[in-house]
Amino acid sequence: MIKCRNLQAKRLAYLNFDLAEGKILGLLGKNGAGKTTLIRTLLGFNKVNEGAELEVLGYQPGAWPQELKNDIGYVPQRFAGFDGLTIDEAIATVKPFYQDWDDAFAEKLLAEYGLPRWIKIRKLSEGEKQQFSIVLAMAYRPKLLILDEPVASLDPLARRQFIEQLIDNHCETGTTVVFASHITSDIERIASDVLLIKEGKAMISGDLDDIRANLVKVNCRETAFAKLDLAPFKPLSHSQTGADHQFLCDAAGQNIAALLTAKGLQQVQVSHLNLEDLFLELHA
Amino acid sequence: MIHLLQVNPSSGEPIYQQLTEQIKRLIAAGVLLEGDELPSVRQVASSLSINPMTVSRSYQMLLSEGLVLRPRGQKMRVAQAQASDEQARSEMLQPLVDDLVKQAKQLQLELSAVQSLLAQSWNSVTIPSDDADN
Repeated sequence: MIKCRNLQAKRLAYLNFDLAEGKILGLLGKNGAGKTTLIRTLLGFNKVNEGAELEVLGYQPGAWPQELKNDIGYVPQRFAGFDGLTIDEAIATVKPFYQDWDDAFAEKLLAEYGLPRWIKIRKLSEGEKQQFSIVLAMAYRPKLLILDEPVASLDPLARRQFIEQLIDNHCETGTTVVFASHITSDIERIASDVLLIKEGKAMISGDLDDIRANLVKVNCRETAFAKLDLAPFKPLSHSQTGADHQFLCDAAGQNIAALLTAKGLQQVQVSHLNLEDLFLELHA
Repeated sequence: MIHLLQVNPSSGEPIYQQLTEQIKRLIAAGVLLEGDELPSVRQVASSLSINPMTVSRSYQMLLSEGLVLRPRGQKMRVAQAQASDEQARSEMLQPLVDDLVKQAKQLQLELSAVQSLLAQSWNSVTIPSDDADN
């Protein structure tokens, strides 16, 4: 569904990742890490650099044939447009562009959110605008749904509703989803894959369950730490207090505590982290 | 039985493991009996708002451990009838108990204090029973 190699654009530096059809990708990163740049590049709004290989739905973004354009749904960080129209008027304007517009589904989403359909869109709250934007992006059942912090302005109830709708829709249609969010527990729930961008590079990328099982935090004591060759364990974000060391590493399905002890590290303690803690460790 | 399942996305344990362990416990405790149908992947994913692949993965683990069967074209069913003996069920708690003891020692608590905490909790905490199932 998405193939990305050596992508450089604004904030991105040689970014690589793949996303198979039917997966849900959770996109994580600090503000300014390059999430929105990536999303806008996937949508064809940014130029792709020489030497990069980027395919979305089998084409370079922007080069899609007409019929594929309706296969992508997009919820931007901030919804703009249709200011002077009501929700019903805006839907009547947008609907003719999409062959697969699903009236019943759109009605269901609107009803679940309880959006006031007679009010001009410029008078809606930020959260309501975001909900309406979600309805517009999902109503034609796109094959690829790209969401740039879709829940940032939503209250906890509306957020939970959205997550439920997203999963229901995914179960029904197998939609592939790219979901940027700062709410790690949402990503933990719904994502099959995760991509964590730091300073334009992919720090973590791949199957979420594998990452959760294998990327572990190690605490240990060692005075000659620098002399050890830990490269096979791909250590990340090493920090040190006296002889106490802390780092993340890839256990690759093995008994990492035993392997590190055999390497000469002492008092090795291994712990599994949730996404939020991983995120914090990688930005410490 | 869906109402008996719950996941905590913020736990250190991946969600598919949480699900697998819970279903194992339900089988061990005899809440799920031989031939009982497991809800479909989609039902579980929808009701817990989690990725369906996570549920599939958990079901695959149960299949590969022989705890459930999937007759051709049918729903997943529980394989073994017999509830595990008390010994086996106790063993399932061992990692949790080790964790509890570790934390208690870090807090410099005595065994007696932990025991009375356990007793208090035992009397106040209730879990959903399967009676509400439709």
